[in-house]
Amino acid sequence: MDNSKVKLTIDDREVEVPKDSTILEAALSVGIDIPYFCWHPNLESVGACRMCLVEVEKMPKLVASCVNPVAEGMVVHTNTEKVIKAREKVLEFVLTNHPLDCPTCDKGGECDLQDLTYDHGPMMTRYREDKVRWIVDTHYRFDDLQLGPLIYRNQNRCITCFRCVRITREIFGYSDLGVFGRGSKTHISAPGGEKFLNEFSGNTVEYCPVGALTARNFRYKIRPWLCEQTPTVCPMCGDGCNMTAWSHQRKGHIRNTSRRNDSIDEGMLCDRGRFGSVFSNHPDRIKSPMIKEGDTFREVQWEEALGFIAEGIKKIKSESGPEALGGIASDLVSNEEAYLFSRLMRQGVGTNNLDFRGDRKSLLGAGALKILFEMQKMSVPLEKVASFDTVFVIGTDIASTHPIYTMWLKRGIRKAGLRVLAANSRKLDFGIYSVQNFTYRPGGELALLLGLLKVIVKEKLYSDAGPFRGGQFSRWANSLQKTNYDTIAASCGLSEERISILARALAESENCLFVVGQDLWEGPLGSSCLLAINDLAVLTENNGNPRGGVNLLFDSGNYLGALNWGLTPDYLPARRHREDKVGREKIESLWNCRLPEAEGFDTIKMLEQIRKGNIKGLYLYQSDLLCDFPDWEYIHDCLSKLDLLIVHELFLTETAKMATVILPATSFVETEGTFTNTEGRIQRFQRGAAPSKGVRESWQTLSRLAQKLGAEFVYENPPEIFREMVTLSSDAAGLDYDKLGARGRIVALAERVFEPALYEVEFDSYTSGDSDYPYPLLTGDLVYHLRHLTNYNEDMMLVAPEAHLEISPEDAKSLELKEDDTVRVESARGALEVKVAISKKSPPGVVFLPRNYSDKNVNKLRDREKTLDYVRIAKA
Amino acid sequence: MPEKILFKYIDEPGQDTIKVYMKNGGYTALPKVLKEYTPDQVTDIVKESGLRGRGGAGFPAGVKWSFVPKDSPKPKYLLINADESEPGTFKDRQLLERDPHQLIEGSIIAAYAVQAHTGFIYIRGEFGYGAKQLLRALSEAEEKNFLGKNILGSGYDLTIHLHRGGGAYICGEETALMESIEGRRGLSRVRPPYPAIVGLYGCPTVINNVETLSNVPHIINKGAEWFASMGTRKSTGTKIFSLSGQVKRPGNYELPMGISLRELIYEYGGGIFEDRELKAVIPGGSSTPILTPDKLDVKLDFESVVEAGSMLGSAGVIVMDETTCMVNVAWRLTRFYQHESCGKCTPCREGTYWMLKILERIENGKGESGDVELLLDICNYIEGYTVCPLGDAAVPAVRSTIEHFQEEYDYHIRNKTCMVKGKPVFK
Repeated sequence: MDNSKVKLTIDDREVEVPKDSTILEAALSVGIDIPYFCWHPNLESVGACRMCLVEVEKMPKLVASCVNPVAEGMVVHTNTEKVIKAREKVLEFVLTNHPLDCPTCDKGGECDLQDLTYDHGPMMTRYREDKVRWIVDTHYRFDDLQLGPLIYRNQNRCITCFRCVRITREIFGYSDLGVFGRGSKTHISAPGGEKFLNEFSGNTVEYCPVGALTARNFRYKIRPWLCEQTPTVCPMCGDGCNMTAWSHQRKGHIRNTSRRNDSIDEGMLCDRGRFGSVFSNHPDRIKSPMIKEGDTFREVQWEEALGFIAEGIKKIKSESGPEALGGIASDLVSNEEAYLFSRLMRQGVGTNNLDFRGDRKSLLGAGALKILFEMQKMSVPLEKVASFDTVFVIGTDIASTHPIYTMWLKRGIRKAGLRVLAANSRKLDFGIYSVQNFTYRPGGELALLLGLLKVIVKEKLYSDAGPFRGGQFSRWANSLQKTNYDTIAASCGLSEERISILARALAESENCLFVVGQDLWEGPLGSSCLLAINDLAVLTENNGNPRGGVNLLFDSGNYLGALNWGLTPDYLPARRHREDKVGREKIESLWNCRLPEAEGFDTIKMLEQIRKGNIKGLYLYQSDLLCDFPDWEYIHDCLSKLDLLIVHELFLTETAKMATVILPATSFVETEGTFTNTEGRIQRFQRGAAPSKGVRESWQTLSRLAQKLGAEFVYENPPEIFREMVTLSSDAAGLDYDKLGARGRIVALAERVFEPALYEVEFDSYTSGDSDYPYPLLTGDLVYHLRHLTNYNEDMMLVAPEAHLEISPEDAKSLELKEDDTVRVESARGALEVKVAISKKSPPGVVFLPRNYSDKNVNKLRDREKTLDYVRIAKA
Repeated sequence: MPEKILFKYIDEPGQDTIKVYMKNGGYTALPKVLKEYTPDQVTDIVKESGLRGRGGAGFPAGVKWSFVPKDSPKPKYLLINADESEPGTFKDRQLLERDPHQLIEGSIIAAYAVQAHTGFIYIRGEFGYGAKQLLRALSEAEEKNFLGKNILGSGYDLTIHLHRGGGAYICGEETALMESIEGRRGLSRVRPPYPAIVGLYGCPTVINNVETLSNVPHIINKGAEWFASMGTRKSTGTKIFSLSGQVKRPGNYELPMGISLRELIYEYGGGIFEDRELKAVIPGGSSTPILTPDKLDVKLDFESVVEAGSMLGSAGVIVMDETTCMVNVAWRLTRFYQHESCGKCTPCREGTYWMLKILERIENGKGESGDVELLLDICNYIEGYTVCPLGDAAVPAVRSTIEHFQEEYDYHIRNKTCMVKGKPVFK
């Protein structure tokens, strides 16, 4: 990179900027305002709108500042008579064919064209000819065209800056929006009658400088200036994009816009975040505490409900001891709420039966979590992702689970020739950007990793200078010999040759980042996979010290926060292990209590205990266990055995309907606090919409309940909780709630010290289906949905309204299935009737069902005892 | 008749075949170049000849070639601009239909000079016959190993592809042409960077007009001095003038640079149709300002025409007689530019549409006082404010007709009828 700088003069100010800047960037960097429409910091300049013309000495014509590079000694004027006149004329041109329908335009009040016309425009136009008018429906003289389920176009308002098309193509790599026609007939449309539908479509609306593109959720709803804007953080995936929540006094939380954070999102949001996180004003929200009476619920006062719960807990405690109670929270609650819930369960109830993971068949235990915490020290901030030369994505369909993460990968591919290697059991698709897919059979991830290690050892693709100790290395290398390539190839479905190609690419890259999906490390062989990844990174010297890195992906808004702040049985808040004496004492003295000594149970073990009758009371805090747990029959059976089921929830979910007592919770826009994203960045979100009448903020509920159980919880507000909890952490200590800043803070992890980090990996051979149930069933979130939460969002249910079984074109052919045919998917457990979607993402022989639909709950097909579920498919 | 270079054999039957072309001395320059000259020497010869681009801008071809960086690790490309779409110009069409090998030989020499191994002929979509002729000629040349691998044993490789355009005027503009070849909408790119540095597929690219390249074999064969001895000092060689409009003998005339407009129209063109009075001449394709009869003695070379207030451009000479309504001329040409504006930048997209609407109104007898001033003001803010020259090209038709014939506009507006024909011409 050329870092040299040049000096130039803009409006009599001396400016020093990097050599490859444009005049516009140089001016903006020192706060000199040049108006523009088509320019956008994330896009290549095209110089189309001509609004940014400036005068440069010694140049005969005015130049478009957005495309002209700076030069040493250049003298620029942005405010001469000539420039001012030019702006006025360009605006006059722009407005000639603009309908000026501002009173009925949704962009009114936040429209660049309005603003710039007020600033620079002519006070009147000399244009008196007929305007070009685009009518979509001639009968009703209707101008708006629905480009896709979420986006509408009014071509009359369009000033053809092409930002929408450029964002869609350049930044996100999709071609489903294009420019058509020529001259005054130039227009924006979706090609070939297709829908404009991709997971980033909302950005086109936000960055449309006029009201040509509008979003379904905000059209004709409310004037923007009547809304209150609150800085918030998106909880819909682990990336933690920053948003501004717009809420209206009467209509509540109504939409989101981006809040540019250059470390995470660069002002872009995915549709799941932008549209999908608007659910707080859904009619199904629980508005009052309720106690079950017979088959119905009775609305009660808060004190009565809390008293009822306290009594229930005390009763179970006195009869069966505190171990007969447990709590399961969610990975979407804030750090403060996680901490509080942990404190409530451990101090108020007195149990370590605590978890927040409710959607997995196997969970990492304390030992594996320790490895995970260690491996996190190799992580790399999001903004650096694009600067690697190779990124190895394994075990995740990252485009669905972490949309904004892929934005950075695509940036790397576009700008720096980044090579993305993807190993997953479904193919990754980055649109026009290329990904090399290494598709393994479901359950074959560990086999693939072992294969990679074997190749690297065999071909000696590692460096001797690496951090190995002789004896230990040979012992480890020998252990690899136990598995041979045949077993590996049979398990993962990739030949030795394919594995070798991948291994060489990893070993020979200058700088390789390992991006490890949650499906991988939370899968059945999760902890072994973690170790194998660790070994791979160390062996190829990509352990982040000084090059490479490993990013473990956390798929939901605050998974890492929940992990950090004490929602696992063995780790107390601030990652203090239950048996770590110093930490324990610190917490005991802060909380002024004795912490329970007994070993706690995680979700899976708790359920076993419930089934055995040993656990009688369960507190579900925003955990929709019944929908999420991968074995519906089992979980239903467990939950119905409970004496006391407390459900503290946003919506009247299937789980809530089984509750003994229900407490209303508050969503992320109705409270304040912090989230920890997948990088470990702590970010603050603020209270936007007021909770509905009678709903208490969750932290208040938890505190009050703790008080009823005899624990001294005295908090004024979430910041106070934050201030208390950070004192426990050696990493986060010193973080100031008020100074988390616009970009948030990544908690500095302990110094990166790498022990010879080679471990012996155990290998479990692959289970295969049988003739009855031949197809391995994969499941996960769609890009438009997050578990069942987005079922409460109209937009997302419009985009992806029902479950589709995704099968490969090959399988569709052999089963004689067409798109949208209805099929019966049957496992040994149960059956579902769903429609078929033929998807190139599915490799032959593997099917996928989303886990996002309550009516077609895939968990009804799943068996918790099987590492992999198999199904058969028949035309219904 | 003065000496012809490009059109010497144009009427000979079979000149479009390699056999006749070679019989007439074709493909002698190429072996000479490959054997005797280094690429730099070829560039120097062309520089010395003073050959200037025949596409319109008149940039010295040899100088253009020398801009291509020699140390670039990227592949280099030669583009042959056969997207002849300037109204009033039809010279390239004849060259590539009747004598395609002349163009191909010139192109190979040019590609050798800049060390390009891939060339593209971008031919106007409407030239179906021309495309067929070129395809055949290319395969003939390939058979004889004038194209392909290791040309004539020299070790130099070159492939030339033919690309047919989709019918947009803008694609004759060099950067839009590149976008079009790359498979995108024909939108002009912002310059700098210039194509010689960042061109097709981001690589150094030389782009030349058909007529320019067709001259190259002759320069090699007969020498730079010979070429420079024709025409004027700064505009050397011959030029094909496409004479059209109200003349007795319209057609392509290859004449030395610097011939006078009067000679062209009255001597070669046989005078004005039905011996009417000459009213105005567009000397260099529709993008150039009109000249009035008092400029008849202007010498047709790059410099003299500029002095006279217009441009030689592509030398598409359009002659208009006394029966022509100048408002109608402006309207017709503006309609062309409005239709061809690519829509990328605001002044051109909106400005041409606006001008068209005003002119339409004036033509329809609905003109108002102030319209002429408004038209001039719009012209001022199109010219020089657009990304590419299309905007600039749309201005002269309106501005120069107003400049010379404002009384016709005023008459239209005042009397709601045409001054020349006494009634509205349009509708």
